[in-house]
Parts: sequence; structure tokens; C-alpha cells
Amino acid sequence: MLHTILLSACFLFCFQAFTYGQCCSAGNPSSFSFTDNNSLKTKILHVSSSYKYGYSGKYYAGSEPEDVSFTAPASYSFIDLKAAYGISKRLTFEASSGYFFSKEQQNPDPYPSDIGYGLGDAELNVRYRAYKSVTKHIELTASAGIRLPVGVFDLEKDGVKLPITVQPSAGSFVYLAGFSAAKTFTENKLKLFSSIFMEFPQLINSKNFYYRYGNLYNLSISAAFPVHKLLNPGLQIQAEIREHATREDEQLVEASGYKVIILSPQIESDFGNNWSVLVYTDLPVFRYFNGMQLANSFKAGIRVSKRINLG
Amino acid sequence: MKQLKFIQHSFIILTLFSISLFISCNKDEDKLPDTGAVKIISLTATDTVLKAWYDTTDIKVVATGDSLKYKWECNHGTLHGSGITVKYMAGECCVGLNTITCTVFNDSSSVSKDINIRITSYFEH
Repeated sequence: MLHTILLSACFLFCFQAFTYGQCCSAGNPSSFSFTDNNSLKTKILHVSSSYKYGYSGKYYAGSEPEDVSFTAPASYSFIDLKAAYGISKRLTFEASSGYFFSKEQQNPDPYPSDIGYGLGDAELNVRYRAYKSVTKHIELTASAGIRLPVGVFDLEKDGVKLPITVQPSAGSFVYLAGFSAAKTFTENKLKLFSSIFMEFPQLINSKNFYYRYGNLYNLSISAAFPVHKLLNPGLQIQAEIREHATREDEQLVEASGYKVIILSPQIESDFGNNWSVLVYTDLPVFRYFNGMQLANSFKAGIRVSKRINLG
Repeated sequence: MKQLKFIQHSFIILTLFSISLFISCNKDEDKLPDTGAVKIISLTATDTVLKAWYDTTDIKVVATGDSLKYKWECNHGTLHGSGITVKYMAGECCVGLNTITCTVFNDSSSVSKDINIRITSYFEH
């Protein structure tokens, strides 16, 4: 038990210097809550579908809420479908895409909301199990991928193109990379996860649009303690940094980029024949936004998954 | 046996790949030539310098031609309205010189014109 506490403290110490947040975002919602990062066994197919909801209600300038004279909250409602397959004992291939039921930016009175909807971008990932120790119950996995801008990016209303922030697609390729570590303690079944994910959005360069979202770095540490097959509670702390965006002539967009720390409690239940359901929420506990930006208030999601052995 | 495995793996990978490549709903924009049947006389705004989240401007197009239709877009910010007049506004993330494009078209011709609007910071006095 002492080892467990020491290891947990070590992980927390390592990541306390980092922080997370969100505004003027585009494309599929990035949520790293309890992402399944481990490689699958050979010929195992893992299919999952998640519903995600996010709400942003307050403007922040730096780390403090800004008292503005208007209200203009934003929200999204999104569902995705993901399939991962274990090609070999080290290699897992994953593909996903999703659909926005709504992506809404309210505007100050008397102007109506901008509401986008439709197919989001598609994502391809390859996970490589770099190390696995059966005796020490440690697993290290690296991943690399790409998000393809196949979603809707030209929504308009009455001949007026909707702003990019409510378009379902990000409008450009996004390169993805990650690394994760997992450790299981056999004496009490406690599971610890630690991961770092990075997104590198590419330039959106269309007829009258020139913009590049800032790179994103997400570090997380999670602990799950199985109480019962139907009750696996867990807690994750995420530290996320989004760098400044750039626009025409490589101008820095001052009101872009953030540092946020998020707490993500979850409950997972296994049932039936390899079915699983996961409920989680993301609650920001620290936010720092460059300039003035609309800050995410909370995100919540539910994921249903099924593991199928094709061997 | 190895060939069977290869085929099995290839099939699954292709299935996963196809999931990620749904047909996008991109709509072709009107790319009609400028035959001279449509002309934009003017594209004007009531204000060309706006404070983020505070000011708005009305942008109006005057054009000649038969059965005219109007299309509006901007690189940063939000447009409201339709037809010959729209209202433009922008937030703090759109500070800078932004371009609003108006396209006027009918069944045989299409022509576009830009107007620039500068957005200043909400914090500037």
C-alpha cells in the first residue's frame, strides 16, 4: 500500500507543474477523460460509442472570471463511434468519427444563436505497445494518428456562412501523438494510468480563411479502484495547455490559448458478455485564459463499449 | 493459413478505415463566371472599426442584375441577416483586420467584393 501511495504522489508531483481549457474551438471535441490507451490483444475488436455534452458559460481573462455586460454561452452535443482492432500483440489500429447534434454559440441580445450540426472529422490512430511486464504489471504504449477534415465545414443560413467555431469540422488536418503508462497493483487491484497526448493542428488555408489553431498538450494521471464488476469508480486529473493560434501574416491571436486543470470523476460498469458502460464528467478546477475567452464550465459523457474476440 | 490471416486483417482494417471516412457533406459553391450580367455598385459599412463584443456594423451591398441572390461570409467573426444587408460583429478572438466577402449571383453570372473591418480589443480604451 505504501508503494501505491508513493507512486501516486510521484505521478502527482511530476505533473503538478502542468495545467488545461477552451474557447473558439473547432472540430471534434477533445476529451481525454479515461481514454482507452492500452494496446488490444491480437484479434480483439473493441467497439464503442460515446455521447458528449459540453457547456461554456463564463468569460475569463487570465485566471479570473470577467464581468461582461452580455451573456453568450456556448455548448455542444456530440456522439462518436470508435472501433479498435488488435493487429498483433503490440499493434492496435483505431478509427473513429462522430456527429454533432448541435454546436451552438449564443450571441448577445437581440441576435440569434449560431447553430452548427452535422458530421465531424474522422480520426485514425495506431497504438504500439512498447513494453509490457507481466510480473510487474506495467504497460507502456505509444500512439500516433491523424484527424482528417472530412466533416462539414461550409454550413450557412440564408446565404450567410456560419462562423468557424460552430462548423463541425476543424477544416484542417490534425496530427496526433501520445504516450501512456499503466500499472496494476495485484494486492488491491488498484489501477494507475498516466498519459500525455499532443495535437498539432495544421494551417486552414482556404479562399478567404487563413488560420492555425495552437498545439495542444494534455497530461493526465488516473486511478481506478474496482469495487465490484458493476462498480469501478475512478478519478483523473488532467493538465492541458493550448498554445496561441495564428492568423494572416503569422499574427498571434492574443485571445487564444489557455492552461487548465480538470478533475474527472468516473464510474464504469461491466456487464453481460464483455459489455461496458462508462459515465464521466470533466470539471475545471483551475483556468487561465490568454486575453478574454469563453471558458468551458463542464463536460460530461457516457460511453458504451463491447469487446469482441475474433480469434 | 498466413494468406487467410492477411485477408482477415485487411478486411477488418478496411472496415475500420471506412468508418472514419464517411462521405462528407461538402456542398459545391456557386462558381459561375463573371459574364457582366451582375455588377456590384458598392459594398459599404456604417463603421469600419469596431470594439470586440461591443460594437456592430451594418454592411450593405448595392448591385445590378436580374433575379439577384446574395451570399455572405467572413474570415473571422459573425454575420447576421440575409439579402442586401447583414450585421457584422466579432469577439476578442477576432481582433485584427477582418475580411467580409459578399457574392452576388444569378443563374448566369457571379461576382464578389470584399470589405475590411478592423476589430479592436474589448480592453482598449
